[in-house]
Amino acid sequence: MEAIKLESVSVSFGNFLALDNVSISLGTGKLLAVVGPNGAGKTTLLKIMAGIIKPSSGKVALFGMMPAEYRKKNRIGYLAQQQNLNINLPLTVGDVVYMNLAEIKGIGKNKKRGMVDEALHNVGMHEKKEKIFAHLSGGERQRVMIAGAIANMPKILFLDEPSTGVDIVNQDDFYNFLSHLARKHNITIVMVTHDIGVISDYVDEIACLNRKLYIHDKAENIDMDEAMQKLYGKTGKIITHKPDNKSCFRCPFKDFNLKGLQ
Amino acid sequence: MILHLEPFITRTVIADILIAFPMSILSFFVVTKRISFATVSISHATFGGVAIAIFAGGYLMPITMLFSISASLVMALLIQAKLTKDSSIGIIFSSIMAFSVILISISKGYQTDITSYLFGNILMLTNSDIKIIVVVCIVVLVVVYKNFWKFMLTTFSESIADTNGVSVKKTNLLFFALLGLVVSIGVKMIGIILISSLLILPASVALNLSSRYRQVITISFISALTSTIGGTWISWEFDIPTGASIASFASLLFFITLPFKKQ
Repeated sequence: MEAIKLESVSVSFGNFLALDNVSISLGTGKLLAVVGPNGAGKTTLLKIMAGIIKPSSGKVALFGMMPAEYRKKNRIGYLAQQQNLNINLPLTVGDVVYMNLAEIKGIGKNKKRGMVDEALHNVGMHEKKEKIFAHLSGGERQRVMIAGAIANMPKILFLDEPSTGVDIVNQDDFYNFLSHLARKHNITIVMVTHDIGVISDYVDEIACLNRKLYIHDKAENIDMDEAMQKLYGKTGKIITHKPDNKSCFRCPFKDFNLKGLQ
Repeated sequence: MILHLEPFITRTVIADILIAFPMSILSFFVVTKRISFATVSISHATFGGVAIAIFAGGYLMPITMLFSISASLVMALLIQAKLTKDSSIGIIFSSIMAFSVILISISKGYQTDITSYLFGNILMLTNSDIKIIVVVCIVVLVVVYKNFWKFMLTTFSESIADTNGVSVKKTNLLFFALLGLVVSIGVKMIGIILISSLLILPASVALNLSSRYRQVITISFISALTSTIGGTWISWEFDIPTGASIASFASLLFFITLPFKKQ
């Protein structure tokens, strides 16, 4: 069954057309990257899929249900852009992850604390559980936010620029980690990203968006030069980064990858 | 030895202790949500309730309560209607102040009352007021306890709150209603002008000393309690307006703790 399906979705904010007649679907356990220039409507598309905002026209379905209906019975994970987080709130790393579980009924506090520990282990941040969230680096905060999004092992995960703050040496392992979540845990993942050069090695599908959906295909079928031309109006040399084994030594996701991927 | 206190002193001490509970917990969210000036606007909106009570006659506290809750909700709705927080706060502030001044200017014998409402007067507290304060404190604490993580989530990220099944609109409206409720019970004691100090300074003091929410809320309560008791005592000793005395005490605590603030 398709995990996510959008049919002829358009979104307007006043006179501004943010998304124009977008139709896209994604199978269960697939990892989709949405790429496009600034102001292309990528975050809007993510919010439409997550049911945070409603489309002006068209249909959205998560596992065949309207997002609001789906979310009554199921959890989804959502990673917001870092600049939209209020780090003025005095929270520890553990509190930030716990917040994502606090409103779930029917699970005891002890069980929730166990889920927090497990999620932090998965992103290599457990030893910093008692640290103050606001005092972490950008990359560390991002890992904590991902722990929060996956703490309840949602069936669908929406990530808005998840590699922000993750240094280039660790990006490879980071995307491996997401790929692992999709393939081994059957979690459907949609992520908005600017890392055009890196993602094609890890994601199943790529959607190229600039208010309209220009290309949506399997990653291996997409000619990135053509995509760049359509999205940005010009081509450029895409530089990819492949870390050597030494750089992986300090990888925050290393433990998780060792267990899951090898 | 049996200590005989004047009834108004007993009432004031009870009010001092009670009011510190809701003020301190709401202060935590006011400061972390960065809506300090909204509390100033809500407290001034309470002036509208005072104006109606003076103009039409009747028991002041329920009228101010209804008025300040309504003003808070209108402000929250304006913010949700995509007006900026800044504009919403300014619109409520100026429109209700204008309305209140007109209403009071056409009322008779207002001059003696107004100063007490603006700056607080502990002699105005009645036994009925204390009963209302008790009920409001219980209501606020229970509602905050039940909705604590909803308030935390909406403060941290509205998108994440939404995807966790929290209605951001309802939660924000509930929070603003609580603000209106709490402001209205403090007006007689602390006054319209300075009641907002107890919704801003206690958590600001606490955030100077800690970065963990449990400690911040606890210190915020201690700070609020110290300010109300200490401020009221200074007010008696030196015969100065209670509101100004409490706000000065709270401000003093802030500046004393400021050097301890961690970056």
